[in-house]
Amino acid sequence: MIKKLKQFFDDTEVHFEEGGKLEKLYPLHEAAKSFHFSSEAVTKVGSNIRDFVDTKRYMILVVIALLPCMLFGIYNAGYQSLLVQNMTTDLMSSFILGLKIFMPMLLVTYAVGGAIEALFAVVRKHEINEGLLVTGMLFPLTLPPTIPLWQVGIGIAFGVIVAKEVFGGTGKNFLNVALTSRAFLYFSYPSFMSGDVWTLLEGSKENVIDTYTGATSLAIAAAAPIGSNAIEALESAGLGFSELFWGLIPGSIGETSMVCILFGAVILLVTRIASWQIMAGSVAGLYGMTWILNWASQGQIPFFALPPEYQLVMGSFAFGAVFMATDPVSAPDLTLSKWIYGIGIGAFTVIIRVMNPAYPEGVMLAILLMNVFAPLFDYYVRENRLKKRVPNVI
Amino acid sequence: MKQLSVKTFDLRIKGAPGDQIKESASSDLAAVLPSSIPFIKPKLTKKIGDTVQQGEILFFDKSMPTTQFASPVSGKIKHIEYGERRRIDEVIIEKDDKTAKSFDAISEDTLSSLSREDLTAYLVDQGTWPLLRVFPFKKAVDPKVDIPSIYVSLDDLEPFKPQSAVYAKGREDLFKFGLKILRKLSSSVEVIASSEQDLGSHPLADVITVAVKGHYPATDPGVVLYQEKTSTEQNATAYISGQDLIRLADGLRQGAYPTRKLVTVSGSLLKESFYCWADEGQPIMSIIEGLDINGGEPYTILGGLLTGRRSSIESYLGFYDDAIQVIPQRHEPEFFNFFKLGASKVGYSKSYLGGFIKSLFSPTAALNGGDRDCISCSYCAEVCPVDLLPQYVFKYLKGNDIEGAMHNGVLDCTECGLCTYVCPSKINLDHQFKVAKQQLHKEAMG
Repeated sequence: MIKKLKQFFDDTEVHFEEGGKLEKLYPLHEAAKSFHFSSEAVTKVGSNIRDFVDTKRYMILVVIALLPCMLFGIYNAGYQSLLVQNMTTDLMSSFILGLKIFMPMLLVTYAVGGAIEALFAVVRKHEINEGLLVTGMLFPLTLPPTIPLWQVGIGIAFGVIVAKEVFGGTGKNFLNVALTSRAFLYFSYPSFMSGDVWTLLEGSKENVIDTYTGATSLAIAAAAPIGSNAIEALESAGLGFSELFWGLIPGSIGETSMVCILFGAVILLVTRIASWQIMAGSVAGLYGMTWILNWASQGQIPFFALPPEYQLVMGSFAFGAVFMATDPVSAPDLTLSKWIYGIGIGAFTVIIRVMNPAYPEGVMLAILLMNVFAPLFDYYVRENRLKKRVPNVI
Repeated sequence: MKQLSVKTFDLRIKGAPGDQIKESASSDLAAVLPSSIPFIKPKLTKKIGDTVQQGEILFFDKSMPTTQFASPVSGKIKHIEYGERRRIDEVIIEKDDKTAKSFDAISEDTLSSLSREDLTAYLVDQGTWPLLRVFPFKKAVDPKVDIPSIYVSLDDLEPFKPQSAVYAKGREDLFKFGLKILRKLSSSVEVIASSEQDLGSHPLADVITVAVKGHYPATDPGVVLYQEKTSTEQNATAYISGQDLIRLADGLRQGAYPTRKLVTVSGSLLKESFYCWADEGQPIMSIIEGLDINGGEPYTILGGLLTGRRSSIESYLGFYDDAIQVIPQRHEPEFFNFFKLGASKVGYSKSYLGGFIKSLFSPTAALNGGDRDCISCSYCAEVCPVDLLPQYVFKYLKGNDIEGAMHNGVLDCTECGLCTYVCPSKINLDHQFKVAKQQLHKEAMG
């Protein structure tokens, strides 16, 4: 079977090579073949030997790191839906319902994003890059389960075209593609993304309201009246620290469970795919800014006074810091700029969350903002580094 | 002895040659390979049918006529193999028994009375002068120009080059004579050795001035230069390999063109790895032994595993070549390879289990991926021994901003190839930097 498949790719290759009938579609053949079989290419110029890692492996490891978040997210989406409908929330039916919610979103993302990516590769005559494997997985995980599928399609199309392809494709995007897609939906269709209506009611066509309005932890903390305690407000809504940590709560599909995110973080750090400086910087920035606000609030404004460990487990911060901020293309390259970038993300997340009533969650905007600054950080750190070199020019 | 330390990683390549030394088989043919020498425009002084003597000049560099190369054998020019655009690839010589061209044999006493001009003229005439090369282009030195410093690198740690503990054994006197020659050419001469070996029992322990800790390319003269230099004048430091210095000294002392060198023979397509005495210009086939013809298409490298020239087993041993490696071109394609744990995939990257295991592996010339765009993973910057940020240098070059690339240190690049080795997008960074250097060289030469 495997041999036959290999034979098929080898036999069809001639049509896609230079002078073949389907020469223009070479990127598609290369993508399909290299997805199934490791490359047979031999080095032509440069170092005679090469490391085993390629971008496909690099990207697949991120997808593997995302699997716990995805599986848990699928279960949780189904569970939350069944819960508010007062139906039995056993593992199987929760998971199956979750699959019904999530799989169409994932498929739409990969289909629309992949088609655009392939089109650009064919027109630009380069091989298809693997970045979409990750983007296409991240994007639906950041969405609420209630999102209509047409919005998923429009979102990823906007992200891939505007954030990536118009700047030259993979490697040249200065913004994180998945977050740009999400930001587009957030500003275009705010009522679907506001953070108050994030549990899907399955099969409720006859019902007037087809989603259940259950506030997320961020909305509850933000709404706690002056003089009260945000932790008590969260706990009375059933969102204590351990619930927030384990993540069996309403929210965006992949972002609720701190445990699964930590699991992903370990994979990314051990395989050295993601930068630990960015993750550590983000957490440091979040803690630092929260402590400043704790001190400034004097215990009066409940959201200001919320301790940093709550800020850490609430909302999408952890997911963003682990999977989005560490995207190497849109993040800075140099160690010092990675720290500055990470700290900026942590600090701005808290500022936007706490001080701006219009946006319940700040991490998306914080990362996009820092994405824009990343080249500037790198520029100054690099020029500073060059000052230490003995110039070598002719 | 100065101690240096360079942050490097272990390539973990299987099959280092043992200490046993073999003799190569003799052969009726020999060849010189003008196109294998970078930065020169070769001009032949002989044509097909002419006879040459060993040590007689066979070609020189049109843009710098003092860069002359001699014939390593006496005989008749049988054939000249041209490549693209009349590039002179091989000048094949049929050997005869005629005697070699003789030069004055120089003793230590005569050396001390020679002027610098006389000495350089002698070396230029003998064709050994290009053994000494100068940064940043790594080409032969202009004899008229002052050399701020000369680095002699004893141990090239690139798999698998001859190590000084083997090639210098019994030839310590020649090496020390060589150092005296170099001291006449420059006021500063440094001898660099790897401190990964026991330097106390090293045959040249008394003359080593710099001991460098670290794996390949820690002892590379370009890397040591980057660590040591304090002024821009030092950018024009010259260097010579330890064995080439012995050859240079031998040429002077014997008064004959030195052709003998100790080469390493290795690679998984050969039955064993060993050291072997060989002559410059000798056919590769007469040096290697036990080629496994069922092990896949051979990929022949003349020089180090990363930086060596792609060649073929039908080729010949070039002027600078001191290592021959025959490895398979590729390994069998694997199904759904990127989902596997990959315990055998040893490398720099930690993305396969092999990245964590301390075992050695047999390399192939497989690209292990496809041409992709840079994803700014920064692996190249992590491994660069001269602290370049290759991802930026390459982007400057992509934008045709060669000044920007130079500002970012492209001329410090010592062409070790590690950035290209680790790149997951399989970008040929080292090749692009070499091309940029060629362009800068052209501009510098006017």
